[in-house]
Amino acid sequence: MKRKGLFFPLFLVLVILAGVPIIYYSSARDLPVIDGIGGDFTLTGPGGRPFALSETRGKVVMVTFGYTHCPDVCPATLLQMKRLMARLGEAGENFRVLFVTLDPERDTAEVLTNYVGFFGPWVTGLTGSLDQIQDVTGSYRTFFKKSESGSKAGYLVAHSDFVYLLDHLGRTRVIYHYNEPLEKMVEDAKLLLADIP
Amino acid sequence: MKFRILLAAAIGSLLLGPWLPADEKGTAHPHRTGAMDKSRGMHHEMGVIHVMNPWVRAVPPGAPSSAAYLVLRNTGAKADALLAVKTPLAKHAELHTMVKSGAMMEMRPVESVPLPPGQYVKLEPGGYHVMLIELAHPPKVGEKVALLLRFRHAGEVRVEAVVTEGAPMGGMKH
Repeated sequence: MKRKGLFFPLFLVLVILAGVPIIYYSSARDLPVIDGIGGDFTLTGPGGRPFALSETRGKVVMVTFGYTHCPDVCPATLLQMKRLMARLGEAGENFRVLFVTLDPERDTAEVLTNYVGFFGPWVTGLTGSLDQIQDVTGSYRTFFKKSESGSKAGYLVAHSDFVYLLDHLGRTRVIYHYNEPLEKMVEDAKLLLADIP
Repeated sequence: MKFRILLAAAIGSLLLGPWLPADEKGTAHPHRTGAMDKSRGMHHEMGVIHVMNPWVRAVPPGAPSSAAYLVLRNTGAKADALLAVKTPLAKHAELHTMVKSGAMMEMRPVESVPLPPGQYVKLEPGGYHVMLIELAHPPKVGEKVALLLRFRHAGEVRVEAVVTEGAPMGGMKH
């Protein structure tokens, strides 16, 4: 009787312990579509021409938000993207990064092209009217706020550091903080890239 | 019996408290002392304030700002503070911190970076940093940049930072 009493709880513990890695792996491999956050948009791209997100159909896309006067988070985010691209190797052929400005006043299409070009040809800078930008940040549930901080840099823009991984159909699959470990981003991007028909 | 255990736990935590690593950015991690002192980066032992691994972020040509980062250690018994930074690379250099404001991160200029005695203070991405404004030229990877640091008590300390893409490998990477 005593032995039986110990067996079942022990068995349960073993099952749970065995399940832990299974749960981890299945959630990493299972990137559900995040409904309601994201979506198509059209902004102003390189050369001042309209750029629609739907133009990236068939590619896996990372959508980032920032501004060129930002010395810390924004270049760090794009640097992370550069490292991600390096890790993807050949598969990176179908990977793109979008950098949507939160400072359309100062970040014109030309400024953005020069800025993102530094990181790689696979990044596209996007601008637009403040209304258009706000529409996009609204759909992506990210936030930004201009702040007159008294800095000699002029106004600064406070913003969230969310970065969005979209599949080849433009659906949001993962939302990261900009400093998420590179490994996770690489793993997720590879999964979505493998999914491209 | 229970009371005695609680009392022992309370006294124990009071005694241990100061020795536990602090979590907020810009405060000390005493258990990492050894690793930091053996840093492979540039380590300037100038008087009481040690300056380690100063680096400047490479930014795109045309980018108006960059940032300088470093680790400071106040080896003295008296509190000090970093008050200002000057560099030929930028017209203005300001001390900034990063503050979380709801779901947003906000950079805010600060008057000084406090340096408690015996502690490490990190100026690192996402935390305190030196914002370099109106760059004389785009900093290129590998370039050496002179930084003149002014402390409240320790006076002026000149160090040479290296321009890198991101946090240098020998430095503090979380």
